[in-house]
Amino acid sequence: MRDVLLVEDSPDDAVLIQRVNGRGVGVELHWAHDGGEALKRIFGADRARTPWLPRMVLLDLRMPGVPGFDVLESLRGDARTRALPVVVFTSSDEPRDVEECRRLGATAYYRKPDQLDDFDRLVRAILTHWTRDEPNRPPPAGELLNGPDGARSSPAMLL
Amino acid sequence: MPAGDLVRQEAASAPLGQAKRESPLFSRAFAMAWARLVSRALAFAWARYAGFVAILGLVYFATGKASLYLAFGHPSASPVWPPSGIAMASLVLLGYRFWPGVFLGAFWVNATTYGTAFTSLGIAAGNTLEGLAGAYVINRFVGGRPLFDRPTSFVVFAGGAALGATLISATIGVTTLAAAGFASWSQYGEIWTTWWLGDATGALLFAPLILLWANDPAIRWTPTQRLQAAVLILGLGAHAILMLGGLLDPDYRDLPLHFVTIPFIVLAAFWLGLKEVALATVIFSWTSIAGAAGGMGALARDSPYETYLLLQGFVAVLAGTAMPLAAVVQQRRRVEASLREVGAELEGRVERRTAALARTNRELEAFTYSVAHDLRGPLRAVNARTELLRTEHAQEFSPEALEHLNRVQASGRHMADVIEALLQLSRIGRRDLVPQVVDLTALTGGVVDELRRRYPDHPVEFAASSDLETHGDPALLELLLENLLSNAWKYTRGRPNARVEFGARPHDGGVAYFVRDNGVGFDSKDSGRLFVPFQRLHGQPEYEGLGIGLVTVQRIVHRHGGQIWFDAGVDRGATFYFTLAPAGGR
Repeated sequence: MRDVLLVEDSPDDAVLIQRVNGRGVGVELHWAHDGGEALKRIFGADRARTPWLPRMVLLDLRMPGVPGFDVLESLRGDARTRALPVVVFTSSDEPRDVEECRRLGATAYYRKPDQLDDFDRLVRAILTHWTRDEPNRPPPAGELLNGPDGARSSPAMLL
Repeated sequence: MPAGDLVRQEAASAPLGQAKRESPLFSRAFAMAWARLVSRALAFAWARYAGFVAILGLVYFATGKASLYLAFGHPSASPVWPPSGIAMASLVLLGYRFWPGVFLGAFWVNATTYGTAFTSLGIAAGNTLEGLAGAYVINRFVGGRPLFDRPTSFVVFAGGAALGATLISATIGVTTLAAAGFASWSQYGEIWTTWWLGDATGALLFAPLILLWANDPAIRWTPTQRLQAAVLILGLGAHAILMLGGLLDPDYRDLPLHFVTIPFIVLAAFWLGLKEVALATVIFSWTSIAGAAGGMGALARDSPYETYLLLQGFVAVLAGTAMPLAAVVQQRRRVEASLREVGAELEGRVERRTAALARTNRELEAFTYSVAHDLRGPLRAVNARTELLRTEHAQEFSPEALEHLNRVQASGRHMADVIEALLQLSRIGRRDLVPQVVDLTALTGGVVDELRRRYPDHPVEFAASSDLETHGDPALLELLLENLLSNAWKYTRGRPNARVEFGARPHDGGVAYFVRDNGVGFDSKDSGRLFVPFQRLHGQPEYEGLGIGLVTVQRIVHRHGGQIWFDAGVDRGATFYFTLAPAGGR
């Protein structure tokens, strides 16, 4: 099963992402409303147990409660989840935020496009790329921070 | 409570046991009872009054007697008469009603020195009136704090109290002596002059000394001043040894040794304070007079009268120079201190304001940042849902409803652009500058190429001065040129012979760069709106844009510490000037 954990506080964005998924992407989308819920999904109540490993985490940054940065830090701080692809998907394209995510070890960083068709295209590309069985294809254009080949793709919109 | 009761009470409370072992008059308890009695008695105004009168009389008498040892012409005439100064200062400090102390002391000195009880009474009356008059002058014209701190206040004191009030004592005293037959009328003038100048120098030296030290007895020297004081003490000591030590070969006795004191007195005025100068003056005067009495120095003459005159003149000049000088120095010091205080206060205020401003700016930027980001989410929802309605439910809407949807969507796009511009603007403020050498001419080349690509059907003649290098943040400077040049491109559209120029000219010790176009220009009186975000001078359909370009340019210029201004008119084109360093240049 191609499981994807979506960490997103905005129901609007979650619905839009769900909609793209329903139109031919077809991954198993699990929606956590904030960082705390996301960590509970992965690690469960007991940290000693084997964590749940989806194919990827699609992570928003600014959320009530536990923010995306903390989720990222927790996942990278645990050897069992260190290799899990975490793709940041957020409204912000602040250099500060991009830098912070790079430092914490995000796999890629994309700003949410304002226009629906751009949004749909990017979500489709992200969901497809990080859940495919053969990982050696180039990732979608955007800010790739720690991609499979260690290279950065051309930044589409980020400073 | 009457005094008698008090005595009885004290006696009754003395312990009896101790009296057996010790003599009752000297027992400790008896002494303590006496001390209590005295201190309680002093609580009575009359006892305090009597005590101070007695002390004043005693001091007057003692200094009078001591200064007579300096007298070498006449047994009752000293070249300097300190009691005059003591009387004036004491009556200022204690009050006029303590005059009997002066009277008693003066009477006592004279009665035990020369003349009769009658002459002593007359002389004492003269001395008392002198003290009262001098005290009045000081209270009326010199008093108040700080004392003697203006150069003129010492002059007023010298004229009114030292030289004026002492006329009374000299006249009454000498007249009394002559009338009683102790002085011949033919010598009246000589004796009167000696008397008057003796009292005057006594007042000149001792009244300021006592008043200044009583007013502020504490010595507050910095380490440097302690060193300077040591130098002065060395000078005082050397002078005393020369004048009094008898070490000098008799052939050199005529050297002007007195005047050696003047540089030291001047130094004291510059280094220390008024009261130290007053003290040094008194000490130098004493060594000078005592030395002259022994025949030392150029002021020592064969005739004592002549010597007196010279010494008195010398002492008056010494004090009259040193005190006003010290007053000027003290005044300057106070002004300096208050200037420093004002300076420090100003500096502190500027620092606080700057910090507050920086904080406000940071908060404002943080606010812009979070608002802009928080607006993006809901706006995306509006835009996306509108798009879905328009594309997937088009058949359910009338053409008119679809037109409304189009307008909603266009507004949404515009709002997204505005948010984007706001973020970019706030980013300029928050970004750390990375200054380096930047070739502005080269930057314009790249920008112009891009503009030509973007507007292929708008031919513009572009000219740039070569090799315009500056120091600044390359990314921000490129953004600046991009905004100014694209404005120039935009507002020359449709003009024949469109021409844009980039250059530099000297300005205020530095360089001002400019971008000039021959486009539609604008009215200078509209310029107030020029640097306000989202304010546009030209109508929307005619020239596209958000009205953020010049604000961006201004921010970039300000971040570099520079200024921006312009020269424009309707149909005369526009020139924007900017500097990239604070006025005065780097």
